Amino acid sequence: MQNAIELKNICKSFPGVKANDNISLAVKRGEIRALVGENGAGKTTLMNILYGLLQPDSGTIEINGEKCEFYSPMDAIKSGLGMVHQHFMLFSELSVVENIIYGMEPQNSGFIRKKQARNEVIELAKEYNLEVDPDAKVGNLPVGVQQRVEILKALYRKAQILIFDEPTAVLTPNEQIGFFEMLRKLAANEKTIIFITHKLNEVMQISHTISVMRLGKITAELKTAETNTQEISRSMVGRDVLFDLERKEINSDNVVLSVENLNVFDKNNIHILKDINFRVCEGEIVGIAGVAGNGQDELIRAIVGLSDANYIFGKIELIGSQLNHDSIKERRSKGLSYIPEDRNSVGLALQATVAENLVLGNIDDPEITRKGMLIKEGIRKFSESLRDQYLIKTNNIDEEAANLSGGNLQKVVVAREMNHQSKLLIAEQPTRGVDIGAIEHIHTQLLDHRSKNNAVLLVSTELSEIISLSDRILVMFEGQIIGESAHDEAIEESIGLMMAGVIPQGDRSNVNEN
Amino acid sequence: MKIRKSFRNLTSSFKAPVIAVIGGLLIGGIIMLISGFEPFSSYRALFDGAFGGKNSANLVGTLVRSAPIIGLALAASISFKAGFFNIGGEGQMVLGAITAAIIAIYAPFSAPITAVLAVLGAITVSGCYALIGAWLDIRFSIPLFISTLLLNYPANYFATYLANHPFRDLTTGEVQTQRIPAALQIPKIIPKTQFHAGILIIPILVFLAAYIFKYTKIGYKLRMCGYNKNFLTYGGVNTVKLEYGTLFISGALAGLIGVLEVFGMRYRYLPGMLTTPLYAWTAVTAAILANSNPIGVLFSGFLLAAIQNGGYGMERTSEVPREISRVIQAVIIMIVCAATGLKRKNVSSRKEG
Amino acid sequence: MDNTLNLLDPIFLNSIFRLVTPILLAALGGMVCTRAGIVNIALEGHMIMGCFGGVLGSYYLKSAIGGVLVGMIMSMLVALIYGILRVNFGAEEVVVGLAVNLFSTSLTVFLLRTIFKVTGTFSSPDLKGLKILELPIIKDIPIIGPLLSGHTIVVYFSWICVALTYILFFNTTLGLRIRGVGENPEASKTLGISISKIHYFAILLCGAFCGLAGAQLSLGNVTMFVEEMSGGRGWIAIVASLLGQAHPIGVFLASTLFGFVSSLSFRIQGLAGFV
Repeated sequence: MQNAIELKNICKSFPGVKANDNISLAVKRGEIRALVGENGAGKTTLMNILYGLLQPDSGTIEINGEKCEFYSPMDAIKSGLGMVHQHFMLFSELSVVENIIYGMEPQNSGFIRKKQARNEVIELAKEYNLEVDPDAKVGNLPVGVQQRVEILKALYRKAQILIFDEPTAVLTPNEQIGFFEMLRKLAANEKTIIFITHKLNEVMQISHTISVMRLGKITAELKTAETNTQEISRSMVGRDVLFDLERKEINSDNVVLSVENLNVFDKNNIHILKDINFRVCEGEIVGIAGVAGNGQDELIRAIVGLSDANYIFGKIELIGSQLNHDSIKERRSKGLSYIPEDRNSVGLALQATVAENLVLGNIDDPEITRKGMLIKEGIRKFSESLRDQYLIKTNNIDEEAANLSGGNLQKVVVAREMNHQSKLLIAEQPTRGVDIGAIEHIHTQLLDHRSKNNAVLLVSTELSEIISLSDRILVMFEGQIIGESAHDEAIEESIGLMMAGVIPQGDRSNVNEN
Repeated sequence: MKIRKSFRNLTSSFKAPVIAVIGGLLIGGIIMLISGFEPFSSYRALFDGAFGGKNSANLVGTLVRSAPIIGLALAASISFKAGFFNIGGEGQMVLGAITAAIIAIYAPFSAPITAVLAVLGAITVSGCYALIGAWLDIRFSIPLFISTLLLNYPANYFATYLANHPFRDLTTGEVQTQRIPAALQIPKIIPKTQFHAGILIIPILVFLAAYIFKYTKIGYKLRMCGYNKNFLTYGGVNTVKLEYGTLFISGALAGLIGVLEVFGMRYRYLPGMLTTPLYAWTAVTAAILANSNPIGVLFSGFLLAAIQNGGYGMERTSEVPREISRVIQAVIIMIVCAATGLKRKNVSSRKEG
Repeated sequence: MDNTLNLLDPIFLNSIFRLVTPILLAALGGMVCTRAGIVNIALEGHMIMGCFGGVLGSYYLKSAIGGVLVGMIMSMLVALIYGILRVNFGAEEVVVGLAVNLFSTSLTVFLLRTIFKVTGTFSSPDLKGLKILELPIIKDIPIIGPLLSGHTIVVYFSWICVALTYILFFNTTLGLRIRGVGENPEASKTLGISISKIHYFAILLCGAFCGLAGAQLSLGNVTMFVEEMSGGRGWIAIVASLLGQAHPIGVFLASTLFGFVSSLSFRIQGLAGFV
């Protein structure tokens, strides 16, 4: 049978990186192909080339045996490709129908045939069993349904080949089951599917074949039925993944952070956090697991003091002193550090120099400023010591931060926040968008912080990260902590169930005791 | 190596403004040509009007004109640099001027006390007026550039009303306040010109601001705020306070410029004395041209004053309407915008890769 | 003359929509830009070009409609400059807007002095103003008659424009694409929509609307050109567009409110003069 997609010798370089190095890939019609690899392995670049968002330096693309050149997504769409992006490309102010027909509206000399459009969408949805309300405003729909709209959008464009970029990142495990069901149906309908992910259990569940990428190259082509997760992860990282990091045994009852009966009503007066109770003790890493958008952001913002909520009820205490009405500065001086999720828009000032980014939290120190004046020499010494200690790759601490790579930027944030040796460190997605070497470095730093009798509150949507680092794991679902599990008894499966809102029997009382 | 790099930085930061000025003059020339004027002799007249004259009288005139422009551009730059787009300098200046004039005319104290009171009163009123914009931004998220711009209108109307009704000088036929006492008038330091001692304060303020931005903690905070306000909030700095503070200082400085114009130039407030010459708008141009750099404002403000002052000279000798200088000014901003826009586009396309 | 504030006075009623129209048309222009994701603050500059172009065209073509067309063309030329800077060069839109305003006000004064050889104001018997048209039947209804009837063709056309922009936004492919580009340009791009084309369309349409607004000012409300005669209406139009949430009906209501308030203030000022 003819291949639906055939990529031959694709190369693509960016300044300093060979993102795709002589990649060849062939996928048959009706096949579900998983494309796996760590962050920065070059998966997204490859798919962007296939979808016409980027042009390769060399190499060819063949669709159904025909050689194609894609200069824009439009060219790719015309050849029967559709892409469901990780961050949905939807118009939240427009209706479902408007979103789906956008750009190829059924029309009569410029006027949209609204009735026809609506009927077409309803029929399409029926054909593929993708239920949606055609008139709903997309912004009001849950993410799972929004993803359906994205898929319908591609199908409406007669897509024969569907590319999914990290499709499950935003879904609850329950929604995932439905999603996989849908993928199988699509494949049965002769659609070809490429599925980008780095979650191996999903790969095993859904794919027919697997392509593994590492550092811009394809390192393995496997049949799912004939392989196992160990083999895949070896090809992904070049060796077996060590899940068990070394950790010092610490048993302390000294509470660092205590949150009692926390209830938060956000700026639209929605009850976003409900009766949150937990503690973090000295020498403990507490991980908060959960699908993105279940209240983790609001919880962290309430603790850190960045909340824009209307009402915050309950007690937040840091080493016995109540934080509720403190400014961010007071909270920080009481012993709180924070690695924010969004490093570019919160954690850093990209146009400022590396040094200026490093001194932010220490701006009142006597080595940095005296009587309102900056001390140049002090700033230089301080920044250079941090640079060396945290292995930040930069020629010059007076370089503009924007010139640094993502991993190095994250190291700047980590260096600045860890350097305070605060009693409590809050780390939010500390390794997102960071290469493997940097991930290991950051993980070691977090454990190091713990071993110095400090507390760490870790928020991550990467379950493996949470499980390998945390002493205790709290699971958040719809604004509540619905379950807890200790490091040694943490099972990915049961936590996964809790992330979907399924409370294990007998666990409820456990939570309240905390 | 280090010297070469800093030289490259210097030339690259001057490149866009220089191209913009040349482009502005070029397009101005084309407009003159189309309108039937001879651009070369007109520009010679403009140059002469800006820098020439007997005993360089025109140069002194340009300097005098540049003083309020540089002062207001500095006021604008301070807020721009911190990321707050205060373009209400005109209204803030007008309120400062009328406040100072009224205190100077009516306060029953000795001259030194009155002078201090007038300056304090003016900067308080102007600073507080600028705070309204900050409040609307913080409380209701109304964009600062819209609120400060619209607030220019009521300030002007109110000042005109005051000069027209309660505080009008009824002995003259004009709509204006009385003259301020002679003891409060700032003396001229170059005879037979308008160059008064108050102008000397402007470069001092410029260097002070440059020093503060570069070497102090508050300067660091302001610069970081301009780069990324969230970053500063996250770092524990109270950015709400910072916004109020910045707007107050920016407004107060604009008010001080208004005081200088009243005490050093006209010795009274008359409607239009600050608005008709478009000081505030020229100042915004100067600030943009200098990329909000205080020292840069010294050059850009002087340059724009020269073009404007030259425009008057040109009008006298070659009959080209002086508005051409404002057209040139507008074209200069457009080219600066285009250049920075292109640069940003290039940077973001590089980042995407 | 009566010294009380009579809101049913036909002269007052008739003045309302005369004052509403320039704001409304400019606000519709601003609304189209807002929907396309552009904060266009150059409305004031476009409008003054429309004012001047209106007078220029009317004087030389000896026709008021010719004047309106020249006004629209001149405003659209300035809009084109704005578009080139905003779309092709990616310039900062607020600053470019300010530059275009300064450019237009100064250029109109410059041209006033080079073409008509006057300063301040230009009026001439050769200048053809827009004719007042009475609406049949409606003109005889009390209150409604003087309110709605007895206006220039531009006033009536501005009402049609409200309907036309509504249809544009909610019934045409172009309108859907404008709304999409404004909300999520990235997504529009991946679906093959040219953001530049949509932006140019919005900017030029805005120019046309503002030109019309300016021509109504200089050929409808009065028949002359005065330096800076747009007098801040471009800014009020921006506020009207924001207040009306960039929806044609909302913009119409907001503009009507502002026009009503300004005609009321003229009225009160007029009365104060008599007291």
